[in-house]
Amino acid sequence: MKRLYWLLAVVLLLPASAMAAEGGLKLLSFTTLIGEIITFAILVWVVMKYVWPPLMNAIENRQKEIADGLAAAERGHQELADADQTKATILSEARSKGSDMVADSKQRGDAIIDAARQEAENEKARIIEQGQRDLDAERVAMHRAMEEKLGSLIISGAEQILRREVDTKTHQDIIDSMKKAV
Amino acid sequence: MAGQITPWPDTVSGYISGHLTRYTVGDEVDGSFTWALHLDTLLVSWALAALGFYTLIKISMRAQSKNPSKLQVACELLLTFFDKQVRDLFPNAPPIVGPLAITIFVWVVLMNSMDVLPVDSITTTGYLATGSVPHFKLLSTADLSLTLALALSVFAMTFYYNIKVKGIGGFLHEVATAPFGAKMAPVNILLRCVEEIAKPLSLSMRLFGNLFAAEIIFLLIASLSFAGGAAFLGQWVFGAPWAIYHILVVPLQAYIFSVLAVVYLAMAHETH
Repeated sequence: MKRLYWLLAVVLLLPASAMAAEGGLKLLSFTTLIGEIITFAILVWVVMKYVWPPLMNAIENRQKEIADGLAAAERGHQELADADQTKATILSEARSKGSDMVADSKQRGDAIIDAARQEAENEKARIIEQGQRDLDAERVAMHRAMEEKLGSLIISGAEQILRREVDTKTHQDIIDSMKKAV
Repeated sequence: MAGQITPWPDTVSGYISGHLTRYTVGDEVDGSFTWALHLDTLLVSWALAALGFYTLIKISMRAQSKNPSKLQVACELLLTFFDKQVRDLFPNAPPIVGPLAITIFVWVVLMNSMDVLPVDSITTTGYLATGSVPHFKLLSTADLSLTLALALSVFAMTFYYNIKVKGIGGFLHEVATAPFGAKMAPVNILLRCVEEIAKPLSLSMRLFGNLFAAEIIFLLIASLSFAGGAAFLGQWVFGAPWAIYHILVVPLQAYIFSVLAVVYLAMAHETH
């Protein structure tokens, strides 16, 4: 149907152009036609060489840059998330390590205090023992001194008594043996 | 009709035929075809091509992917639009098709847009400058020589691609056998001839007819206020609505021409 329509158009066009020619209307100028064909060819060549490629290049470069930028942003996001993850891990690790350390040091402190207390206890016992020993020694010495003093007092008393009744010299040996016994 | 006419003739027919006369160089011959050069068509089309394509080249050569200028963005819009059209209509197109479509569109839009200038612009300017009224048509696309030049270029390319893709033998075989088979070869050949003639004719006649008719309507509108020098004043006022409507026609016709050119080239590439 379409082809028939065009056939009709071409058949009608010929008498139409003939009628136009009779009216003096110049439909077509061959020189102009050729000139415009050459002009058109030059223009197409110019556009193909100097307009299309650089402009297309710019567009494609920009598309690539935008894609790269978006990819970089995506990567940045990913890296940020990773960093957050790492941060959280490190933080919890540090926290647990810190609490471990606190517990550890507390334990150690307790141990040191215990040891110190034990030592102090020992020292106390030692000092008390020493004191006891000193005290015992002192008591013995004092005892002896008192015995000696008492002995000599008894003797001096006995001497005074005896001086009146007996000669000291004759009973010296008895006194000495008594002294010794004391 | 060469030479001088009186400024703004008294009759409407004289006014219109005066405006339809071209500025020609060379000998006229009888008949609808002539060897005389339509200098106004040539000069206007060259001037507009120089303006439009110089701008395009300048912007393209300075195109940058980062921080593009507004003009560059406009050109990119045009480019991507036609790139998409070509991709849709003609997959795996040769690299000339996109530039061809853009060239047609830009050039034809520029030449068509001369139509919205008041019809007496050149006449008045010429009269004021030289004291005579020149026969000079601003509207190059209302000249069949130009539209047929574009259409014939496209036709030549379809012919080239027909033979390049199918080979001479394949092309002739297609002409003889499609669409009714080998038995109906004469009918096929006749139909194919009509089809091939109709393509450039319809392409060129559509643009020419639209713009020529629009121009005549502008002239008729101008002649509505036809009284001495009032035509020039009247056409600004009465021609404005038609010019505003014509803003739609100008890119539409250019778009139709360039897209049909792509379609014809795509048809040449595919086998029947």
